[in-house]
Amino acid sequence: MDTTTLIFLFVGTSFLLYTVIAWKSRVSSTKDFYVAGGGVSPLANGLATAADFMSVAAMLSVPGIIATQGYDAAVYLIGPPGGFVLLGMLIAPYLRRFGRFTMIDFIGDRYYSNTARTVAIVCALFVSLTYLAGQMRGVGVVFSRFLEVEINTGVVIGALIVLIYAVLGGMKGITYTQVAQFCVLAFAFLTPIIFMSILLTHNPVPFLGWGGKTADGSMYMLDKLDGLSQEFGFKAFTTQGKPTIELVCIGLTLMFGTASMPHIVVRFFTVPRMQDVRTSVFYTLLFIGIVFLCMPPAAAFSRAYILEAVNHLAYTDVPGWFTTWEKIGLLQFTDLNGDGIIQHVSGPQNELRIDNDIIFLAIPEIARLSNWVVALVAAGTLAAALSTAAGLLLVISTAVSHDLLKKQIWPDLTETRELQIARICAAGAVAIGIYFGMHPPSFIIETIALAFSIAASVFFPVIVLGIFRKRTNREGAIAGMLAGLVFSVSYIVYYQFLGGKANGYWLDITPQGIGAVGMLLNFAVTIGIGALFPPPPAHVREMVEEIRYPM
Amino acid sequence: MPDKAAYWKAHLRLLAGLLVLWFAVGIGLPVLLVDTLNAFRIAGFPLGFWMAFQGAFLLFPLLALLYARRMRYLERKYLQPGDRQGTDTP
Repeated sequence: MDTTTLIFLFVGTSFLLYTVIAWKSRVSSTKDFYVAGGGVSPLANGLATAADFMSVAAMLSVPGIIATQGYDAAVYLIGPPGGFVLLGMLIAPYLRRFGRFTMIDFIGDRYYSNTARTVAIVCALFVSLTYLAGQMRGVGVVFSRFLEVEINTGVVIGALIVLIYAVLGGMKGITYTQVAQFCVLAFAFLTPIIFMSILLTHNPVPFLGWGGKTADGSMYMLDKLDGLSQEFGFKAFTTQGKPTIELVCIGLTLMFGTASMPHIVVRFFTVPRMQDVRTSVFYTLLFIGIVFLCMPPAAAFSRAYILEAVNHLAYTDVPGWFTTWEKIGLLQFTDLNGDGIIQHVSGPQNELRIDNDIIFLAIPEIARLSNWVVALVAAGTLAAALSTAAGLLLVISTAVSHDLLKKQIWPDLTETRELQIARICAAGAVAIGIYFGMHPPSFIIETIALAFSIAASVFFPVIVLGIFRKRTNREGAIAGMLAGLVFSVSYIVYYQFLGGKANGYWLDITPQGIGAVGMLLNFAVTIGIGALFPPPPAHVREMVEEIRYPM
Repeated sequence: MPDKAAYWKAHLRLLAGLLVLWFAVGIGLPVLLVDTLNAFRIAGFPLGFWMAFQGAFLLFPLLALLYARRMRYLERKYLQPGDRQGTDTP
């Protein structure tokens, strides 16, 4: 069978599977729709959360960033698992015990204020929409590369699949499809890397293989990669190039951001008890860890191969995958010195531009693996995109139907009506997703950095203080959220969009890492401003006391 | 007799300890001390580089597991004294 047929077969089968699961888990109550009835097992929730978190951006861009930046990119991988540890210890168990439907519910009730609720809704919508844009774009790229359909057609097909299970099954449908999607994406991610590891190091375990000797046994894989990098003028793979403070801030921003992303937090509302939340966080970390362990070796293998095999190659002799990627513009060769030979080096003499996103996608072809691995990778990447998109859609629709309409505008909304509205909002969110996929902002990576910074600097401090410090009051929390938001957004907008120069960064902190500072500012303002106003009313203090204990 | 105050105090102590470990695994060893650790080479990896790209993904799940188990213990000790089964019987 040729590759295209196989891809249609794999992608089609996986889509059919998701649809069947969605049909079997359709729901009829708001509790089922918002939090899957609160009856998901910790293991299933761990798998679903891992799929929810593993976005198409993480699967495509992160191996690419590691390949080009080496050690400096490690913080992008350490951040999210570190965030899950914080989420499991400082946030999720208490919010589960609180027992409502959303993270915004907690902020609104804990700070006895619809102003606080509204600030939280706006930020949650912004975070989720920017993230969604990236996912839908990823769906389009995968479809256009592997199925050779128009990007726009691909976006619509992907969106319709999500629509079916998000509208029918809400959180319940999403949860069980995400479980299936994690299995598909993990299998698809690990298979090519294992083959690549065998090919380059004769060791089938990628995360051991890349520390070992190369296939010809002459030297360590990592030494070879460092040598190759330096030979062509790049920074050595294993050494640090960026200032330490920059790495620390990016790492911390990703950690605090992951711990307070609305679509991640709400996943832990679906397990039965507080103790299940803690177990479930462990499972999540285990499953994410399996994928993350193999990401750096994948990047290293791919990098070593490209540096060695493509450099000094005559342009007329390039392999087939080179031409394929060139055709859709993710690889560009400009023969600067006119000798017809590819020269991939650091600096102005570089003749080859490789888009970060293809480092992982090209592995099956680079390693000359069979067609079915290519098809598997296509299905796996789509699973990553759809699972994250679905989680985000639910947050968007819940923020509107529950947090805005039910809690603020129409408090006497019946459950049936609320459920109907939730479904309509989910469909509306899909439409927005389609729009973003067709007209993606040109700055997806920057806006995703913005999403993490906003989550860290708006949500993390007020949630943690809300649980661990009873004195924290409404006035402090609102001031703190606004301070964090304004500070982070203006820093990012100034440096990313208004032409602020990189050498003007405050203390070397890049816009990607500013969320960590915004978070500290939020903590300080929440406590400082709060001290000027009366403590929260008695019923709020009692609620805080209650959520600290399992019964 | 359940002792909620003692439970919360023990919980905060546990959290403080785990947060120190969390910082060590996430920032301390892989970023702040990376050069020091890179002086050692284990199974082909410079140790600091290994902590950043592999070690953290093995140690973070262990932290989460440790926390979940300790909390189960604290709940049994302070909140259900005398009930040997605890809350987590299936």
